[in-house]
Amino acid sequence: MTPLEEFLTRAYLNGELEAEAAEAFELLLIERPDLAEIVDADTALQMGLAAALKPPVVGEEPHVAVEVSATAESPPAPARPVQNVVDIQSAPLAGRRRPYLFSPALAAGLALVLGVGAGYLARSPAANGMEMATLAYVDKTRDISAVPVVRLPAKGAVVLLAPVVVVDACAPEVRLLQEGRAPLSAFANADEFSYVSLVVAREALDLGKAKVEVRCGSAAPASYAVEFQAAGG
Amino acid sequence: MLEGEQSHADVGVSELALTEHDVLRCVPGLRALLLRLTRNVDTTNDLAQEVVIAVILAVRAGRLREPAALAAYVYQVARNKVATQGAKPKLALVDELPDIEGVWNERPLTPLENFEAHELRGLAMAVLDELPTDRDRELIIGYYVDGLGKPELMQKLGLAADQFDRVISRARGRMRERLLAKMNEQPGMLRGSSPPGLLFSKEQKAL
Repeated sequence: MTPLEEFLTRAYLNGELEAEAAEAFELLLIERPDLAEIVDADTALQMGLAAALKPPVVGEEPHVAVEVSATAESPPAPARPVQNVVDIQSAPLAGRRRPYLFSPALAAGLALVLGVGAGYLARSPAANGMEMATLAYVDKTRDISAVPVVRLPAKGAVVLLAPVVVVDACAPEVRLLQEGRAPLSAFANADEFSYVSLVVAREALDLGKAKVEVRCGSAAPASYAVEFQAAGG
Repeated sequence: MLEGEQSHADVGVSELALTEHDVLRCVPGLRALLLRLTRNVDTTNDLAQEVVIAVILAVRAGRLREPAALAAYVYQVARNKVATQGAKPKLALVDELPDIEGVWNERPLTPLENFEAHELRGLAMAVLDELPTDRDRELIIGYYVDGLGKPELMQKLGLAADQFDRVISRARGRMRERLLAKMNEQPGMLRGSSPPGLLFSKEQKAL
């Protein structure tokens, strides 16, 4: 292990890497069992100490169902910098944090228009035939039990990139539910990473909590909360 | 070297072909990533196997041929599995399920694969107890249990950055050693993930 790798490993474990750098490190981690040992040791130390010393919080919202077996033994991880918040305001499409999702997501985004967003885009064609949209990425991968925070611009079109469930022979209906507003919905084809891209006018989104529902006929294979916050807030 | 495996050094680059054993070499890193993301040993075990199945299917179907693309493919499948892990599982016919049991059994074992929660607690507390000073213990508890950040802890305990890093690194190194020692105590759990060239030097153990 080189001194640079030592430095990067320490920075990754301390949560000091930017999102892109953290992803690059994780890619390296896949190939390097020696790095895996250190990361495992750090994670195990945190899990073991938290289980031994951190009292369970009464009334704490339970984690997802698949984690039930562990919640009895190991309380949730402490608030390390989980990097699940993306500042969308200054992140045009080319600057997003998951570049490997860019092409299919953009293609799907152009093909799929959600609710009010369709009217918005139809009513407001850009003078030069092209318009900037802000990408809002719903990141459920850093911490599956956390409510992803999505930062929204003040106005304009928003491309909401959200995970859905891959269900065979079903183009799932994605519904965005906000209190005090009519649901927005669209039938969406997920890309190869099980993400859909939805275009919506910023004006159709309220700051605060919302819920994403994925429906396939009468079944609802997935549902999760998101929170919209103002960019820069 | 596993049966049927070909050393990449023995063939030209154009002749390199991805094998299922190449996929297994990613298991330690894959498991470390999944555990980092889920903080749950059982979920990590399940997801690791699902990812390996998906990647092996891709290799068998010829969708993944280039060794250089393997890590990225494994990484993307892993992130996807974590993102959708609460989802209703897709049904598959029995004869569509891949027969990978034999291959899976040859994977490199990692220390946390068969650990019980109480064993983890015991090892972590042993690492904490063997720290030389109360200040070091306070630092470790603040960092790992209370989730306090490095700047906050440095200020609270009057530490310089290198002192902070040294204490954390020593604890990580000791936990790693204890995990390996514990695993190697168990029959059939001899470790084989790190190729000799990648093993740590004495100085690196305390990262």
